[in-house]
Amino acid sequence: MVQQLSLFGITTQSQHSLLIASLSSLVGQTRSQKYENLTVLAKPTTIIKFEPNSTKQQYEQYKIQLKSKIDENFSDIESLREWGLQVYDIPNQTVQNSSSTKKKLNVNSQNFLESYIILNKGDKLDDILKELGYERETSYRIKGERFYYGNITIELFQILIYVENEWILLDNSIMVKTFINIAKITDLENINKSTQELVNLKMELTGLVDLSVPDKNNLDSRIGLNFRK
Amino acid sequence: MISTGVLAVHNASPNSLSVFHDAIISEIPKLSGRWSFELKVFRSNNAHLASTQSSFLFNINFDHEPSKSITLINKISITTSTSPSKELIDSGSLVGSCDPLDLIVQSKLQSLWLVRQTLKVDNGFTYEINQGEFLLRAVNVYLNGSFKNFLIFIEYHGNEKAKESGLEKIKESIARFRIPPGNLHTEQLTETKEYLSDLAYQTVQALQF
Repeated sequence: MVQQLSLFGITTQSQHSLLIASLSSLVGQTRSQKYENLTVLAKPTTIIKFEPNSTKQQYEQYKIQLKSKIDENFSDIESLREWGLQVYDIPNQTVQNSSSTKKKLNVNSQNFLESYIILNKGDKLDDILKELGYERETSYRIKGERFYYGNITIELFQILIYVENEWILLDNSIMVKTFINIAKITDLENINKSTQELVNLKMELTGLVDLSVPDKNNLDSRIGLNFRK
Repeated sequence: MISTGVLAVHNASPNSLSVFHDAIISEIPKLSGRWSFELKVFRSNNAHLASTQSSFLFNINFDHEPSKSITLINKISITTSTSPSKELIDSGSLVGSCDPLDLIVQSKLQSLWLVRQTLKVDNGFTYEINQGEFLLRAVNVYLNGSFKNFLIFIEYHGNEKAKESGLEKIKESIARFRIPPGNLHTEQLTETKEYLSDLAYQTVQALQF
């Protein structure tokens, strides 16, 4: 289980080069690290209706995220044999107890589990999902660049979707994600220190990009919530 | 390519292991220490699954490949490893603190799969014969404290000649090493050999769930 502390922002193409130049000088890293992956979202084939008066035990259902490394020439999902599989919890409560007074957390905090899976020859990702009881819902490409600042990873990325036989940008905006992964979710000292680090970065980038905590509902990977109401 | 087979010994008792041990010693094997595996058996939370779905999900972790585990559903096998490639981490696909898949199934896929049994099969032996040409592993399987099976794992690591396939070598080894009679499971998941996946599949077959 990993706990990820994060802040998100959004910028535009026109602001991009200014932000990159500022980040380069801030972190002292002249060149950013480029990365690209394909993300596949999968949902359970059968969505179970929540029954408020049932005596049977009922379980939460989650979406699965699968990601694999791709490059410019990517065309065939079957060529990808190694995947990162992740299941995200709903973001943690934004209020925590801090030295007896209730203090608002300034960053987003979310736990997730991940596995590194390797497909055998001849096996298809869709077949594996089907056997698990899942099906592919959507997929998109993420193309981005990355800076490191202390313990913080800063990622600027764009989302590409597949429309009419080609990959196109979802829109002209550039997402900014800054985060720190905490390996031990009980490591409170590290969590507090990392929270502070992210908040400091937010201050440093004031005027360039507005980093904030996103709406919790947008990061909720549970499904069937509509049925639960 | 390693060829594998898993033999469930007929009419075995907890003692069969030491009888086998005494017999195999005459081959002057190199004893390479204790061996174990862990098998988790999940049943489908069946009311919610499509009828085509398997009702079992197995997860096996073998002691000699500690960083990998195999998840089996029907004839599909998923290999998970706790040491991801740097390339995958750099691509943003993983952060790198990977758990075996059964942990995710157990905690996040409960609407579909529920753990029924966890078998910790330990105190087995590994015998390396003829400079590693053959590898035998022998282990007693207990279920809820009572004896269930005596399993012998046979691996052929030698060269395969066209006419003398690894499978034949494994069958030959049964007479050669005076392995007690039993049901030998050598079925592969696919046409291509996948060492760990095939071994996991043969183990599950031998245990007959």
